[in-house]
Amino acid sequence: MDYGEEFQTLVDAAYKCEFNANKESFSSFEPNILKIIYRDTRYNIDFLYTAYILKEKKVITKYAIWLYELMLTVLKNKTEKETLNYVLKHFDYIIQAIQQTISKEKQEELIVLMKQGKEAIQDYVNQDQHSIKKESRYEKEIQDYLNCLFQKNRKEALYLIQHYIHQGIPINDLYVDILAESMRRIGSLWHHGKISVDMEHYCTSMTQVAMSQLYPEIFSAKRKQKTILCACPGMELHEMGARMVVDVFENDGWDSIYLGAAVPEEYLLKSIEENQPDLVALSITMPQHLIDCQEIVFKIKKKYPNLKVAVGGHAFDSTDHLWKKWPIDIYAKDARDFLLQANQLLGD
Amino acid sequence: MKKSIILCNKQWQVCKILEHQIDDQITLGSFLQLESIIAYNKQELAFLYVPSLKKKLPVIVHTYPKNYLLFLIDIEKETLSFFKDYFHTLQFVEPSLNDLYQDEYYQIQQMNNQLLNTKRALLKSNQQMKKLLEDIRQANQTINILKRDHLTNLYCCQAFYQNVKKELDDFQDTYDILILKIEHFKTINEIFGKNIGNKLLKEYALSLLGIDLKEKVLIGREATRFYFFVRHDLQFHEILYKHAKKYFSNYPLPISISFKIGVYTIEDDSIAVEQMCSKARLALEEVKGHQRKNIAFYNKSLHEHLILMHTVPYAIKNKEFQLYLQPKVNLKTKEIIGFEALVRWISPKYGLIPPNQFIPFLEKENKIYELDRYIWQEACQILKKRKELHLKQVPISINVAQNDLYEKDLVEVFINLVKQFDIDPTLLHLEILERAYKHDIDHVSSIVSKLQENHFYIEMDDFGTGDSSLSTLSKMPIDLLKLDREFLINDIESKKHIKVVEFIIHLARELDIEVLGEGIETKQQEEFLLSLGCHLGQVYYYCKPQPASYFLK
Repeated sequence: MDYGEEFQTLVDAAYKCEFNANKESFSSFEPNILKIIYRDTRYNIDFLYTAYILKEKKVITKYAIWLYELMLTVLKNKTEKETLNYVLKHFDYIIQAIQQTISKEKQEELIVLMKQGKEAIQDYVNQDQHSIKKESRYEKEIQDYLNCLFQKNRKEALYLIQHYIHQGIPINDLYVDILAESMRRIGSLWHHGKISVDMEHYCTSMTQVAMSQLYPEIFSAKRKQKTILCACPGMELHEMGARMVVDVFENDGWDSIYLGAAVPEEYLLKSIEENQPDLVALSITMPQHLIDCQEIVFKIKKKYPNLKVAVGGHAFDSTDHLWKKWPIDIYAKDARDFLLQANQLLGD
Repeated sequence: MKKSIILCNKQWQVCKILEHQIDDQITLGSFLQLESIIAYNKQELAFLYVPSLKKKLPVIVHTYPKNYLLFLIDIEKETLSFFKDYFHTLQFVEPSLNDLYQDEYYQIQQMNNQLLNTKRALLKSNQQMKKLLEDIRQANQTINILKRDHLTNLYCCQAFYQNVKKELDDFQDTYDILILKIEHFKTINEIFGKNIGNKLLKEYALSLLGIDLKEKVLIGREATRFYFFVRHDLQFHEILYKHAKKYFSNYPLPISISFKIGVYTIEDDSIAVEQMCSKARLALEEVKGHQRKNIAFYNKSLHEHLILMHTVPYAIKNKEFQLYLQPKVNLKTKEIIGFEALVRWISPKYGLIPPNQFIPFLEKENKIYELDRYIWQEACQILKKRKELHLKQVPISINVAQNDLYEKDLVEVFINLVKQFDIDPTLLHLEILERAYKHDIDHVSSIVSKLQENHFYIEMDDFGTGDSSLSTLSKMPIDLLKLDREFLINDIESKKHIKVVEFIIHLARELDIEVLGEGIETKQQEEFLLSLGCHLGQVYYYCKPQPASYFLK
């Protein structure tokens, strides 16, 4: 998202604050390390602005905790305490920069958000248990599948998916309870430094290939004469969720038009015009893209007031029911839930 | 898409660009930034950023001990020429392996996703094609239904053939093809009108539903022919025959409806269904017009028969037909009073072929005139020879087929014959079937009168088989009445029957018509006729037909 000159000035100022405060160590860094620090600063402020524009403090608080957890794994030679201080200080530099560069009326709101971020990290550190591990009813299937992926046993992983279907696990369950859950766990494992990034990439690619195996089965369902158009709007590049949605719908007999990731607005509108779908679904994984999504939802509804629009995706977890403020017809927490609601809405 | 391979040394000096021969030893200069290389399944993918072009180009880098090998993907010609010009000023920045979550990761993911999306789209199209094919199949079935005969809702010929073929392809079993033909349908249409005719066809088709077979029967219709395809071991012909007999005899029309059935048991399913049906039709032809036989089965000899029939014109030329004479005798004196000319076909290939196997065919095919004229000539020849040999001058009766009566030159032909052989026309007796009169009494009467005027003697053949009334008998110009053998086969002891025959004989005598008994096979029959005052007859038990030459001695 391009927020204009003010945003750029703030990023530069925040980087400068941190650089000046740590002149000695920063001077010894390779230029590319400095580039990464600069980029991360920009990334953090991006979340701040998203929270500010959407008026969703959860965007920044959730991100703050995520960032702290990630830094624990990146800064391996630092203690937890040192890492905590490093992250909190980083937030302080941003607050400093806000005070230096941002106009008075906006300043306060931004600073409140940054402080809420800091508090969230501290609350998180003070909690005894960070997360309660939830057992899935397909726990064994998930474990077997993940083991295959981690052993890079491609053949076995592909076989397992077919095997689950033959065992009678419904495709919707397979997608939502096994594959989506596996992907969530893989993301978490990377986040906590348990697996490397290339392993994460490998698992994602492998899972997509595994899903593509099921196409012949999915497409052979009896047709319902209903069409869903699905896309990841704006700059959203995470398309696994959207793909699951269209597959689950195809399996139920819907026809799908799948536009994929990072679909520009004009293209999305043109495609709606051409295909006249019964339902448009937009999937957002990263909170930064919610602003784009919000804009496009309003545009679609303005142009096609009768067209049913649905939204969903991980990004909404970082908001306090943001979707309630939008003129949408369906919000769903997963593909299975989405299908259920869509069939209810469109008279199945 | 063009691919180029650039070979560099570890100092990033370009040693070679394959496929495009550019000067060796070009140094990478300050404009080239290799922003990052990330490990991805052992392949190293990098992006070359060229600021002046504002372009990021993906490359795959293979690392070797002494040099790097760069694969440039999707390089356009202009870009390559840019490389040629600027390589010496490009600069390389050491890649950072820590810098992981950059755009490049997403670009790889996007490539991967695009591949998957393509796969998805292909499979979806594939599935749609399958669906389309399925729709086409369904439409075909609908067309099949439409291919039904609108009158009876049975299959039309083509649809019947197709469905039979399908069954034969799908199942290994022995099947029969049957054809039931309603005879004289034209007459029904003419008498009662087309609507009644159609109603008959429709109602008969409907009645077929009542045949409880518990098994699939394919039924088709073409005009007055009904086609059936059914498993052989069901003995369907019997069921069909019984059903049709009951149905047609009870059908509320004041006319007797007759039918014939032809059966072909499929022995060779490699031939076309049309041919199978024509074999059943051939069997049907065999019983056509037959009095008692209603069902015929195809066999090979029937097939040969067909071939044989088409050789008749050659057989005439070949003199394969021989004249046989059956004496007519005075039953009292046993004296020969004349002969009936009969034809025998002695084929060098098939031996003796009885007349009932080829006469009906020739009549149907309108080829009987040719054979008849040949026989008439032979008969005249015999008359002439007997005259020359000073044998007793007795007449010879020759058969004149119903169709012959419609030949324009018929009278002329007879006149010429007697002229040619110099014989007395009264010696040439012409036998005309009773049913020929009935068919068209005015025409036949006029022809027969003309023949009588020319002194030819007229005999009515097979009297009693048709149903001409006795009043028509009085109107017809006839010299002799040949009582059909039916009169002798029937119970000759029944009082009623005796009265009928007696009456006919007396009536004929009153009308000045002579009476002759045909096909006398026993002494009892002979005495029966004598007792009723019929003195002439053809007696098998002591006067069998002989080759004509026999009577030249």
